[in-house]
Amino acid sequence: MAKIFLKLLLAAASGVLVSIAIAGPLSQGSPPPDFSLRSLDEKNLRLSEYRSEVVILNFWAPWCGKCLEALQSLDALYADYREAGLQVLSVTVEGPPEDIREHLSGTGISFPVLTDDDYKSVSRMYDLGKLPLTLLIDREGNLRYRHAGLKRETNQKIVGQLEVLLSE
Amino acid sequence: MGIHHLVKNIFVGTMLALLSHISLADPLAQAAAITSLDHDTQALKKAVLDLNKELFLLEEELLYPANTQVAVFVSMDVGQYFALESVQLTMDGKDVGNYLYTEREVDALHRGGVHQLYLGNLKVGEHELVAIFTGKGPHGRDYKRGATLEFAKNIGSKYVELSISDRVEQLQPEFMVREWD
Repeated sequence: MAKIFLKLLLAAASGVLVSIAIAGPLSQGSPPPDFSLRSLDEKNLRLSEYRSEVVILNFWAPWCGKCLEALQSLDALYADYREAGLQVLSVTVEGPPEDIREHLSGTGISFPVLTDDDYKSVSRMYDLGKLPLTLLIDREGNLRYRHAGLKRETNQKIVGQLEVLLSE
Repeated sequence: MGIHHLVKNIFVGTMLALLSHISLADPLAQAAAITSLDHDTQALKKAVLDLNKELFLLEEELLYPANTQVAVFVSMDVGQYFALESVQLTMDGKDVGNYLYTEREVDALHRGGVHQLYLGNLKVGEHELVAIFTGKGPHGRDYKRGATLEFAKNIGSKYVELSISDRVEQLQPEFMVREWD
């Protein structure tokens, strides 16, 4: 019996240490900060309402050259995996919405594009560094993978990770 | 998120400890332990949930003591003439909240839900609260209205309700601010 209590105590202590180690706004395995933003089609969308779906959350800006390329890759993924439970949300850190609509006209992007230009509150919460920033969030709402910037192998990695999350 | 995540980690850690204990025991004890594991797991899960709830209440009591606590709620009655999109809240001229409501949240308000928009601390004395409601008004037009409340904060909690209802005779929405002590 004493052994069990000792193990429970050790487990609790390890829980505390793990928790301290992963503290921070963007910790892998923890829920990322929740937010709601207005989309280009004038709907308010909240990240936490997509729990039970795998979410790809992408941050971008119109002045970022590789961002449009990343958005188009994500749109292809969205078309392929939407039925399997994928939701893509992209957040632009620049505005206004009219300019973003014009910027994206002709690209055929079909997932919601949200604008964070008024207060930049969401961008601040997510502590953006290199753009595009792409986050993969599992069905339980936990951040699982993070990709800053766009490298040649990024899309391939995202597909592999996405398939893992969709199969869970 | 810290304290609740901590509780979750403790739960996971404890479960791992239980499992490792079973794997180390002799075969007979192992069989008995497996039989009772489900009950133990359920009991442990309930204990963790209770602990999490207590921690949440304790956290709230510590951060917002009853003597200085001010809470602002949003409610909606019918709302036929107004489709709520956001509420911006200022307290004594300082922005304290800007909340965008999703379709699901507005639907919950229509069904009688009440949303806690703000929870904070205020000193005893006179204060001014301004709420700006944004949405679509009659005929789908952009609609923005403000409501102001000047109130005295005494010792004890103060609750303020921002209520959206319909003024049927004028076919317009109505925004009211009510105090609750």
